[in-house]
Amino acid sequence: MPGWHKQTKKLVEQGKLSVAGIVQEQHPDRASLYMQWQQMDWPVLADPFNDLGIFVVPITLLIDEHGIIRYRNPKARELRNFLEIEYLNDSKEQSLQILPTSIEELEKLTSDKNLNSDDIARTHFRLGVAYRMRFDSNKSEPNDFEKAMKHWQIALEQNPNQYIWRRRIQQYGPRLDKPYSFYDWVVQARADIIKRGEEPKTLITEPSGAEFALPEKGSRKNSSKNNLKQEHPDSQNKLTRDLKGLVSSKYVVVSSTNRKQAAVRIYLTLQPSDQTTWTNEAGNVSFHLASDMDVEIKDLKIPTLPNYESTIEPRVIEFEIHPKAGKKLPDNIKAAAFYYVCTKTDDVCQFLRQDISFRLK
Amino acid sequence: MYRYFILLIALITPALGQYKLKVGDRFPDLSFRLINGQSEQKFSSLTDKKMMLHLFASW
Repeated sequence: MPGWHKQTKKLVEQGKLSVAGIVQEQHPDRASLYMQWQQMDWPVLADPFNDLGIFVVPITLLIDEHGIIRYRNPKARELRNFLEIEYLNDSKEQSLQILPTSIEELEKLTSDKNLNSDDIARTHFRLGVAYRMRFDSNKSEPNDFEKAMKHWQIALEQNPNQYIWRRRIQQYGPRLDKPYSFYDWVVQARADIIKRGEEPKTLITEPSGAEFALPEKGSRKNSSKNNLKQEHPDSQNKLTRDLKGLVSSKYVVVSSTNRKQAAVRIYLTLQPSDQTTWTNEAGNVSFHLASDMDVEIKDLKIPTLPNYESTIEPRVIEFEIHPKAGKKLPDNIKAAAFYYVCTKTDDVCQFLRQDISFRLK
Repeated sequence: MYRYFILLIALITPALGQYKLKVGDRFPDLSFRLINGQSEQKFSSLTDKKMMLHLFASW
């Protein structure tokens, strides 16, 4: 695309051609940062729900002044031909049949018996998009992310060739399943934009650890850094349990889109209750598997500690679970989260343990 | 002589929102939001002249 941008810049300035884009992404604002980085200033429309129903990107189309597609993935000489030919307005309008975007309407549609299997799959994909959008908004409800993953999985099972859908799951899934890092360019883009003396566009939702992560093969040289064995803070099993629910936990398990790969990626969210604050000066949250598990933890990502003494933000711990050599991925695993918290009512500060059982299948 | 009439009835229900993006087809005139704003616009508002359209993702 940047190559075409250079080739067409003059034609655009001469008024012979216009250039536009339609981005097939859950977070279209990331494309806005990409455009700024690549210094491409043509209009870009967002199609997060995949209204167009396309299966792959990138696709480049040459469209005449009547709105009719004349070339698909053209070569340079075909662009020259396209600009020389006068086209007739000789194609019918395509009838527009758009599925809804609201969660309520889409939920109803999933049980609509008049829909064919393609449309049901598409409805599940859209529900995933809608739930993930609400998860990223200030109207987020518990389990929105989990529901998004569930509906995307159902959609992909019904149509495994839909690579736009597959990418949504891979975006949050284990590194084994990734063809490449999806958003590693963001760091470089910001550095280059600042170097030019510009302010990088703000992202509504920062990419998470999984979205930055490299595929596992490519990240092997970093594996020792990522899989550092941290000392277990309660190997004697004596630490006080958080039985009063000072911190609540919920998790989402994202399986690989490849059935042969057993790894899963887990997003564990720890949220202090109304009466609780994180005690940042004492230390960060930590996470450990029970010692008798036939699994390994990889690519563990703990959120950065804020520069304030006490805060109340939710903390998302990301990690992958891989079966040990020769073992199968179990249905459940046991682990524990550790954290320093204070209660506002009595100002008591404690280091607590929360035992968590994860259902993987 | 027997004549067999085989009637094939194909119950083809067109899938919602699935468009042809083949050469010779009109690009569907859907409405989308611009990535740098909340305003929604019809695709046809961009096609007053010949256009190169990139369908892409930044990942």
